[in-house]
Amino acid sequence: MVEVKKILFPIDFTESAKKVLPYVKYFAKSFGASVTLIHVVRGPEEFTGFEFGSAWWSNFEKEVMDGARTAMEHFIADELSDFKGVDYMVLMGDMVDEINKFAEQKKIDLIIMGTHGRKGLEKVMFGSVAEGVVKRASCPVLTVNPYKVRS
Amino acid sequence: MVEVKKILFPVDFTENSKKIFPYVKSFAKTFGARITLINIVKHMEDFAGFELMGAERWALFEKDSKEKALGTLKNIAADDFSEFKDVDYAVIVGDIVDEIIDYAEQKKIDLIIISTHGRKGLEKVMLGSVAEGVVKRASCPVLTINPYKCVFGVCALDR
Repeated sequence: MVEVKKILFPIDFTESAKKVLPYVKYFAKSFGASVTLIHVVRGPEEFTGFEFGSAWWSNFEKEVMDGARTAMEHFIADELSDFKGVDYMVLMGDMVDEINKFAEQKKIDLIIMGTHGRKGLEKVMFGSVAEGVVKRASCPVLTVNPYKVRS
Repeated sequence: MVEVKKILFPVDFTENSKKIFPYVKSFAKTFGARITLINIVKHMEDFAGFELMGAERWALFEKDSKEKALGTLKNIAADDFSEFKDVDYAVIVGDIVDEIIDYAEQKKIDLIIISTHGRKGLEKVMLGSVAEGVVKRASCPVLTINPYKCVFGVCALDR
């Protein structure tokens, strides 16, 4: 019997994450699994392609990471208060790399994510993040199209 | 209310899709869902891009392939999914991705479970085009499993 004890849920704080959430809850309840939310803040090179002054960047980095942690705590309080055993992680770097690395390190059994995320074009196309995760993940990945979820 | 009562599992009769069986079973048991096995027989145009062999012989070939596929699915249902009472199976002729998507919509499937890698050689290193097409176009959630990395619930290299 294949067990699903640890679910990883990458979120980008958009409406899309909220639409995928009912699946996360249903799967977690059905399997008796814990849920870890993860948010990946893009690293400096992805913003510009050149280097800012390191002092400027480290300030900015701290602010962004703190902001993400606060947003996570709000998200959990608002959306997952009925759920025990929820934790979260905020990382910085390439989204696909960090999600897959984290999933391997923590021996995640299942990643659940929306197929469409933050960026404009991704609203109509398959999100590049979901695609990268599906292609490279070591564990099963459940993809949910937030624009097609039956409610 | 989210529920998973109908699971669709596309099977291509390779070792890769066999490796996914334990996942399909576990998920079906956990949700109390009914399993449908589906195999798509490729259409003539997919083989050649032009008319092959003459329509009559082709029709015969297609009929034969369909019957063999049905028989194989029936055996898989009986042998590998024996602990499930009602496993449905279907064989459809057409484009693999189109037919999976259509079938899932018609039958109001709640979850498709599919191997990321199927029949073709290059796909061992790339995401299978079938899995990619299904994930991109499905209306229902899709569970993708990499058969080279996940075996019987043991995923990742370090476990």
